[in-house]
Amino acid sequence: MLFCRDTKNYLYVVRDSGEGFELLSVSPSIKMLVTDGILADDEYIYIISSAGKDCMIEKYRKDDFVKGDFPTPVSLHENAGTGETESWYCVYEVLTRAKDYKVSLASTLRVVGAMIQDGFLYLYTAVGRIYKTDTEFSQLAALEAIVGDGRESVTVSSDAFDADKYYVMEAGEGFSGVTYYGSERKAYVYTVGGTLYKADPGDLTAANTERGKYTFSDKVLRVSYKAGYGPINQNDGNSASLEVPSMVMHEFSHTLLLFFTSSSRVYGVNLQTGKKLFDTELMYGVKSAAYSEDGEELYLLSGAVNDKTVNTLSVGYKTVYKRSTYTALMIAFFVLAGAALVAAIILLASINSKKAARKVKAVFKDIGRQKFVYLIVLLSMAALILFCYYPAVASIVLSFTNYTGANPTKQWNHFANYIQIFTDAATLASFKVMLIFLVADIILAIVPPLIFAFFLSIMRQKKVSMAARILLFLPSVLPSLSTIFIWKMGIFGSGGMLNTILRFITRDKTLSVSFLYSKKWSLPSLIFMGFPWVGSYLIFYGAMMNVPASYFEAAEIEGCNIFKRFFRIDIPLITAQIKYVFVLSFIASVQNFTRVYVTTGGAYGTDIPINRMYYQLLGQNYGLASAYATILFVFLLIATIFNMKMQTVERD
Amino acid sequence: MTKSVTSNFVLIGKKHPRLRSQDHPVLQCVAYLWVAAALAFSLMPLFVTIINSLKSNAAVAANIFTLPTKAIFSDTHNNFGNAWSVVWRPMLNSVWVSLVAAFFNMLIASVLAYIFTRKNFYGKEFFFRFYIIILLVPSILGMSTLYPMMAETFHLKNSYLAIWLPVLAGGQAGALFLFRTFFAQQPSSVYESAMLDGANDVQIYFHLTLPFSLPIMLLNFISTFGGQYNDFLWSSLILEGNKLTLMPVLNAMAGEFNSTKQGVGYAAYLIAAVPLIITSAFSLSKLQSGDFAAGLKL
Repeated sequence: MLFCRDTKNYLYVVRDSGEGFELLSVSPSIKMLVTDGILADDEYIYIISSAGKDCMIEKYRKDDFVKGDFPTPVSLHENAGTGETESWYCVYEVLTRAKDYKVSLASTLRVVGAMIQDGFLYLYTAVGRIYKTDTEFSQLAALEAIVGDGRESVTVSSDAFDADKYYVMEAGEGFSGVTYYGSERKAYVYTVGGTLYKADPGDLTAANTERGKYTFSDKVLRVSYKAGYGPINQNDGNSASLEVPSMVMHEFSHTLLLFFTSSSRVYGVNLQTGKKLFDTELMYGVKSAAYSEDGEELYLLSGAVNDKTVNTLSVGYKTVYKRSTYTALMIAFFVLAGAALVAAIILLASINSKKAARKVKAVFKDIGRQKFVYLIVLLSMAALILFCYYPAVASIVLSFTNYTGANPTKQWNHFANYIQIFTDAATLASFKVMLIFLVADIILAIVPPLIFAFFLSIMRQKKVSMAARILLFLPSVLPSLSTIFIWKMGIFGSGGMLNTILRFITRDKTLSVSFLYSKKWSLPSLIFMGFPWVGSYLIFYGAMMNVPASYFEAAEIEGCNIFKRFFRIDIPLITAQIKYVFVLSFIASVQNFTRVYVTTGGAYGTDIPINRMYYQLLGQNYGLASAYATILFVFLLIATIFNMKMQTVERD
Repeated sequence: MTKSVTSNFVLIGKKHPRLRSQDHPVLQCVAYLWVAAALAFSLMPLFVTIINSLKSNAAVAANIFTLPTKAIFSDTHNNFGNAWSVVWRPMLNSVWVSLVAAFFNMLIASVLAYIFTRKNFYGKEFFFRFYIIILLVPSILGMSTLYPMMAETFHLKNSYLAIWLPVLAGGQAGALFLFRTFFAQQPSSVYESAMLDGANDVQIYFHLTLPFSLPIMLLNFISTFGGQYNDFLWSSLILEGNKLTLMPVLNAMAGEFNSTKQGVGYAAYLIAAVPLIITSAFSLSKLQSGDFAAGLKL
């Protein structure tokens, strides 16, 4: 994928569809960049493609790419970072592919950069040759001869050809990138050895040569190499280890950015002072980039050209590099300090100004006296804020962005995540399933344990009751995941208990009902898990035991029978415990992840929102996952508040 | 001093009033049958697990209900040996992670509870509300921020710190709430006399608070241990390779354990239960309680 701009500041984005080039969009608002492939002047577009050993220049009429007047272009910004692989908006159609010219410089030519100035095309190659040719390619034959020659070095003599129209020059080193600084009319050439030179491209004359090689004199800086940077073999222009960076020039701040795609690094240098600004790792490999006209936005293209997963991102100028741990800690610290400050201010503001000064002194004196107390509380609050409050709030905020692993630019896409969730039929079905589970879980968490606790409490022999309680403690000693597996395999499995019993009953040796993996039985089976749902009977039992004797004596005198007693006395008096179990099982049911994930993985109609959230998290779609989490959080919050409001009736 | 703490609990064996109508024979029959049935069905999965762990893989696949015969018993050793070799390292990891988490949670929360109960400082209630509010927020909400934060910003992927930090930070809220309630019930007269005698905070904490509240702290320790031991979601996201804890490993082995190596699977589940058996037995011996023993499993 290539960007380029012409002299009128129109941006061309071109995609290699595998069969040729397609122009995809044009926008007048983006300032140039480009390097290894596409140039434009007033009338023509030149596309330089080097694939393997071949280098080809195609020249197209610009008008052939447009349908007439330029309509209002769709800015890249709107669709940037959608993460879709082929989401390029085609503003214009390619009407004809009238190639005015096609030059095939087939040979071991690896063009690392090109530029156009005053009607001449300059190609910079990895071995350190600069080819200058006019845009009419008037001396193509000679050029091809030189190129096809494959000689290691070329001596320049002005007799051989018209030096004004075409030129070949050897430089002292190989190149790995070129960018053109329009306002200075200078080319910044980045050599294989890591040096950046400034040069006037038009000034390729024999007079600047030393022993037949052109020397760059105006050295700007030296980029020091880290592992994975830069080319390794200077003489082998075709070496796969040659890393050609994308070079972006930010003319407003005189900053040059070098993006190294395969090592995902970016190197920034101030061209006026020659000082290195940053040298850091990116979260993604950038293929090429361009600045917006006002220099505020940087448009990045990540991914490989032939790779189907190309994304455009649009970032604020400064967010290109990752934030460090230090910054994260500083943010936490400042948030905490800010909160403390706000609290202090509120405290002071609520106090009469006459007493204010005294109060402040008292506070500070107290802090001095109880240093450790404040220190411990502050540290604990810092941890709480950093690991609990900040992630929760940040997740809610994230749910309104398009944050994914491939596109960490965090742009607002407003409610797009939520719309995606609520318009997807599969997701809506998962919410329905969650509600089914919820209702079933709550009923099963209250009714069977209540009945069991009741029967346990009326049993005559207390010793038997105690034995039962102890025995019932045993199954809960198994880890919960193991219990789910035992149910999955040992009870619902094809050789499991239920199937074995069914086989015995129906005398059919081949019968095998798939309880967990069929649309009909999956959901009921998952609800059935945990039979006989003894659950939190102990809470009810303990509460029943706590009912004061006077109630029962009064009921006895009234002639109450056992059932009446149960419904009229027991249940109302343990309402608090019932509510407690209600709330806890509500929360647990909504957040119950392992039950579905480990058995069916969400298939066969058992998908639930938290399961979908997990898959989004694994797929690095953090924005979408946050939206799921926020929806569940709001749901739980409403339920909890509603429940707290209902608990106004106190047990006397 | 444990007496004042456990008086909130139900002591099993307390006399409970009976209604004459309760003793109706049919009703008693129904009650015993119901309880017996529930007991049988509850214990059946455990029973199946135990007997099948003693059988060979083939025998398990053949029929899940058969009791292990003498001939089949010979495979018990294989089952448990195989299971142990798969499970020992992740189990040790789990135990270590859970122990550290439970210990520091207990420590931090008890110190904080001491401060919030016995000390007065500006903003005390204001700060305390911060801890309560976070209890309303489910842990899954922060996960989509916490994961990139741990994995990329702090470079803590596959490190146990990535488990301990959020668990301790979040766990202190719930434990603080629990401890503060209990600490507040302790008689302040003892504390006052200790302070009059010139004891400083550290001495008071170690000699008064800790002994008073050992049962509840132990309970918190065991419940945090159990909660962390059972944790699957966060562990499977953040850990890999040799550092994996037990639950993700059991999940990874599920494919084999569910088909070809069922006997080994059952044995593995039993082995995995051992640390929990130890902690549960320990908690039962210390406390005879109604609400909390059930509360452990919620």
